[in-house]
Amino acid sequence: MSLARGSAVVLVWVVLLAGCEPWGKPAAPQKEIAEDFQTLFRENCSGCHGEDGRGGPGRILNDGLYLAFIPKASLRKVIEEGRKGTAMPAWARSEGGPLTEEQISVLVDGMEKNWAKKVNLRGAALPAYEAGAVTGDEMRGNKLYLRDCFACHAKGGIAGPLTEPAYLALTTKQNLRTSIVVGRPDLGMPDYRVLNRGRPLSEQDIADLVTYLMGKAASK
Amino acid sequence: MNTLRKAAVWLDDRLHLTALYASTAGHEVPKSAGSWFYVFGSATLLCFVIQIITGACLAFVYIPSTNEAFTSLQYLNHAQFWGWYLRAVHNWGSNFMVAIMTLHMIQVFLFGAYKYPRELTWVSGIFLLVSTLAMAFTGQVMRFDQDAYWGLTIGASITGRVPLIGAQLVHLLLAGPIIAGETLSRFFTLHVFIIPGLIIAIVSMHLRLVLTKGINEYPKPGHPVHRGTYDAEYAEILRKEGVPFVPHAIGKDLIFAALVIVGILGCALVFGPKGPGGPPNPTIVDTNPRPDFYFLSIFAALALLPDWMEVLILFVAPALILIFLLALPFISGTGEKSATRRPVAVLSVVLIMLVIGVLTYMGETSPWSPHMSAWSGNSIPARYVKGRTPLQLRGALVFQNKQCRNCHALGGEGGERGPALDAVATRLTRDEMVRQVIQGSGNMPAYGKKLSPAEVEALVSFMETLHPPGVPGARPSDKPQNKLPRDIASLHHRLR
Amino acid sequence: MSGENEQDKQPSRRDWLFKAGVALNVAAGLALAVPLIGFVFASFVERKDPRDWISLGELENFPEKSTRIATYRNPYTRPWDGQTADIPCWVRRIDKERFQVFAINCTHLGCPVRWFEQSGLFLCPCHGGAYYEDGTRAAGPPPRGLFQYDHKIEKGQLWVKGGEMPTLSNPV
Repeated sequence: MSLARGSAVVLVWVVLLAGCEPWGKPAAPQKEIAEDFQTLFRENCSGCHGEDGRGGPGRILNDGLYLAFIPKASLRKVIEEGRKGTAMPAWARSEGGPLTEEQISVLVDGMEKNWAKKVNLRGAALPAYEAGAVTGDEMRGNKLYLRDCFACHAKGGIAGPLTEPAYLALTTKQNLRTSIVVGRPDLGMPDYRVLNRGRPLSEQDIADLVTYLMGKAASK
Repeated sequence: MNTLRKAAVWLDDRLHLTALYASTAGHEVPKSAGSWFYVFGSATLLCFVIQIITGACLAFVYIPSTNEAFTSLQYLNHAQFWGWYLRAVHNWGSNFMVAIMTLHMIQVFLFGAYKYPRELTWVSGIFLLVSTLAMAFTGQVMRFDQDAYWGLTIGASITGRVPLIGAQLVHLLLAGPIIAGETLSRFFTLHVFIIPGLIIAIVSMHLRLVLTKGINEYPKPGHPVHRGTYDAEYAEILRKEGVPFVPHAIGKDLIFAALVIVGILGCALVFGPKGPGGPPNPTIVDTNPRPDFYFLSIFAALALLPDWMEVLILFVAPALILIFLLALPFISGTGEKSATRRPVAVLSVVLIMLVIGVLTYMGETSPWSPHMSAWSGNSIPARYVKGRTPLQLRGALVFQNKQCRNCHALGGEGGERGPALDAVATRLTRDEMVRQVIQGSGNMPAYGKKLSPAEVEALVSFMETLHPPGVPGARPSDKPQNKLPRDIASLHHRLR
Repeated sequence: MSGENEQDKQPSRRDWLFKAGVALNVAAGLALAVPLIGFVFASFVERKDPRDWISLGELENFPEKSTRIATYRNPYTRPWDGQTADIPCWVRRIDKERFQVFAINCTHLGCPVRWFEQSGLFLCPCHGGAYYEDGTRAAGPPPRGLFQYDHKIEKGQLWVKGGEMPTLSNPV
């Protein structure tokens, strides 16, 4: 009886061992460095840009308009070298950051592949990423600010003032330009296509607004 | 048949087998010693035997060279037939051995078995305890991965704190000025030859003492040990209710032994081997070294205790503990054996186990360690972003960018080294926040040199929004000495 | 009877042999033990400086006002050292001429500290030690600032004197 039971137990063990992969068997070794977009973005970008590239305090990235606005080379450059004057640090190894060339490629391509989509420009031309030769007019910018921004960006307004010197010290021309063009759809700020009382802002309008705001920073 | 019998008698005449049997397996023990509480000693020995067998098998394949060890571990895990399983059995065997040895020690202590005349059994047991822990540490080095490498640096750094001869001791430990080629050979020799040899020698003495001085009878409350009378009492117990160890008292040991083996094999099968983790390449600094669980409590104590206590904890405390343990049977060699009459003994065991347990848990969670990737990988909760001003959003960026998140959690994510800041505005006024950020305090570095006035202003304006809805922020006290200038730039200048 | 007793007291040939045997074995044992102990405890006898000057590479690899990781091969290696002879260190270039080279090991218990450019801190993963960018202790359990290598600039390269793991009793 006990012998039979004993051999039954042994048999069960043998079947267990031979029949299926035991849970404890180690899986094949994995690559040390993360190489997929989701992991790379979550570990390195989501802290400021939000879990899914939106809803963070930093620039919205999961946005068709933004990805249409910024050229791929510029996007790559910003990741590699960071953005002096803002909170965006350099990520490339050559700049002292943690990411390899390949990992940065995965990030750039991944954003393009997952988040870029066709944007309806509603007849308005998409402004160039970098400000061109247009010189801004500070006086006109002031007027435009009162007309197009002040409703939300007044002191005590729903979005809070843009003219605080500490804020302006922590931003750049390009940063303001990008914010005006792409807005913050995740936080409720409209983009350049409607900022002019429902109509698009022109290249000149944007330049004037940026000049006015940066002038505010300089005067302080 | 007759020939066989003759051969057996001849063998016994030459080898004295029956006499050997009668004096070992057949020796008389008190009937009351055949208890479930008395199974841990033999089970510890069983674990040791399993470790020797599996260890010898692993040594067939393992290469104790810094250049090859990691590869040979990978080979064991993935290529050698049943290699991963043997590594798993060896690993779980060591876990079981430490656990069961601890139970054995607690049982011996609580049953007063260390008292007269079994002092030396206890003393040899203490040496076995130390040797087993040495096996655990050197075994962790055999698993030559990142944890092993940095575990060695921790060991070397601790050794380096020894006064006067610290530097030479570090060289002795590492077999050279750095962790390299000879270091692993040295630990391999310790783990495979020297310490096991010592253990075998001490176990032999331990067992001989068990035979010569007898197994402790199950203690009865109200029967204290007296030096003058105990030997006669024990002889009386053996005369009245003595039974041969085999087969009358060994049954429970056998059942427990089988359970232990099944437990080790089962754990090995289900949970598998430990590591190896990342390769032992010191240039990979993106690592988070942790010792095996036997040493997590010490690891935790070193994080929690103030600086001035560290030398005490590292050198004085272990020496005192060891001396106390060795002296124990000579301090309290007589008197009550039963745990029911020894409340202090029971309480100390409970207390020590609680302390070790809590420290091990803390070592496992390590709340004192910064979360190295929290600043870039833990997003700001949506409720702290929605409806914030541009300046406050900049402040949130400064919060992430300056790695505040690595030590301070928001929304349950982030480091635990500093307090969570979800309700910081209810605790600190604006001025206090500025002061704290710029000057630091206690365990917080001063950020005055690394933050511009604008960054401080942005950061503080973000932190001011961190309070539960409906709960007002902290208000400054009216005392004049706490008044600081409102203007951040001059405040920044003054506090730096 | 009395004769036997007398014989016991007299130094006999057997006594002499026993004593000579013990003495010979003590001498032979010492002859074996001295080199054995010397072999194992060489670190107490041999005290030559294991360090040497090693190049960390061109100065251009280290931009001014930045802190970068550098790796060197330990000066005295054995063929079977493998990766363990590659030692990392943190190089801070203050300006054109001034450098600081920090050991990777935390002064608390030797774990590898990591550099965080943005906050200007070195953080230790083991017990949360923190250091400022100039290596001074900022917070946590470390008893002192980061260990620093001797360094020099020669032939357009940065050289450090390395070759020994820094500990409190031997801070490079």
